[in-house]
Amino acid sequence: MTDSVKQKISYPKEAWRFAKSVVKGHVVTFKNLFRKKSTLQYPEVRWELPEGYRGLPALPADPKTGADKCIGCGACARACPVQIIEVKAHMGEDKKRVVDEFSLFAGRCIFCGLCAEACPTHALVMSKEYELAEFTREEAAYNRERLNRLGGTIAGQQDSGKEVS
Amino acid sequence: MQPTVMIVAAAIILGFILLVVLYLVYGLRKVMGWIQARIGPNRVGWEGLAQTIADALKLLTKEDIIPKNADKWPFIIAPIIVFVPAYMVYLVIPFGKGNGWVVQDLNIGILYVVAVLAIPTIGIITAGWSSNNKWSLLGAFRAAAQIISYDIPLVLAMVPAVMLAGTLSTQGIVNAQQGTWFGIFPRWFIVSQGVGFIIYLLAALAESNMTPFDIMEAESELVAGFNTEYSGMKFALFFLAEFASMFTVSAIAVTLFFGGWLPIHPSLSFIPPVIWFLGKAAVFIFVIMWIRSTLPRVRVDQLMSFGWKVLIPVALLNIAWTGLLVILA
Repeated sequence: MTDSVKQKISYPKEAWRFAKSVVKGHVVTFKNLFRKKSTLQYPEVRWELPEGYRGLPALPADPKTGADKCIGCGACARACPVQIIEVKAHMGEDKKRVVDEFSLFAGRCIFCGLCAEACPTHALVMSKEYELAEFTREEAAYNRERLNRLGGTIAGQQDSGKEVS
Repeated sequence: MQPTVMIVAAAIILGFILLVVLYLVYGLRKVMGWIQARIGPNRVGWEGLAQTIADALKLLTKEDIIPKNADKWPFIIAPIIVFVPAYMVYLVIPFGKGNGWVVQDLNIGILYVVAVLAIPTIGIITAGWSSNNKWSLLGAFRAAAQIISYDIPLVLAMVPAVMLAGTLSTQGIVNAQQGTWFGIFPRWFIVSQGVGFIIYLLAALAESNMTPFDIMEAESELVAGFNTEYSGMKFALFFLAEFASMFTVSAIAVTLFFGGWLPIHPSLSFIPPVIWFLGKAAVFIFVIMWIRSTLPRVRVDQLMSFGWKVLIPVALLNIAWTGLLVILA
């Protein structure tokens, strides 16, 4: 007996349901006409980046000294999971480390923020820079000056840099 | 008509089609954009108004490719066969009051429209066959099946308007809708032909292969259907025909069911009839765009059974009901 297994369809009911859903669909799309457009006209209009946004790490200047607060400990280099940070430092006369070289290859950065988290002096913070396209691989390499310049644009954020707990 | 007058009229209509298509494409992209919470074209020209011009120029400058194994002459002729009927229909569209606003008020106007609208099928089959491509051929087969089956409900939906007007001439049909009921309601045929109008709209959408009945160029199944192999100017002709018929469908709907160039109330007759006609047509063009951006494509078998098992019987019942009205009136 296949008839008992077969699901009974009431055609008038189905047709009514169909007509109703078509009308409902049109109502939805008509309302959409007046909805706020979700397109952002990118180069002219930008996103408002949220607090704690992680762009490229930067070395902002300390307003007191005018230089960044890097002490050359290399904690960031050790914390970096993709190993793109390299810190070269030597012991100075007053038993303080002097940073010779600080380099960061932005091409492989995964923006995880672990370097900023590891930094004991909050010298390294996550900037809000996300437009990082370059024409050559070499241009994607950042040295200390470039990171300073990048950090300069977010000066005053040094202390809030470690909010990523 | 004088040959020179005819040539001038043909040129005016061609210019009108080009202008209408230019801004229908723009309008469609804008409306679909808004419905999808996007902005739509807004870069070329003020608010993107020149976007379609740029697109058309791009199409015209493209290399005109004819596939190596294609049937050359049918391949070239096919887009023309599709476009010319879409152009010819404009002959009887009554844009305004009197004979000055219609190219030729044929006494068999509606019959002519029906006859001419069926011709593109030949062009589509020619295109599909001559492309020597399986997608094109499948698209052409579907098109043939679809257009032939939807021609019948389309004609049957037009018949009641002709019965009520007692004439096949398009101007005659518009004139028959003059006057009001109780001084308020316009005596348009839509009053008694609500069902007829819906059948007409569905059948006309299927006839001019617009979504949700665009199974013949279903891009998710058939690449682009019958025009898969076409590019450049030839593709532009198919495109032109599609959008020209979008206007035709709306214009015929307005003529048959919504009183053509007649104002909604005699007191509003200070607005020129042309504005009334184009305004009403614009509303239906919007409705078509709205439907297009709302409904998904129907399945091939659903399309066929819907046409034969639903639209045709309902259209016949509608004719019977109209006949009753005509006898009683």
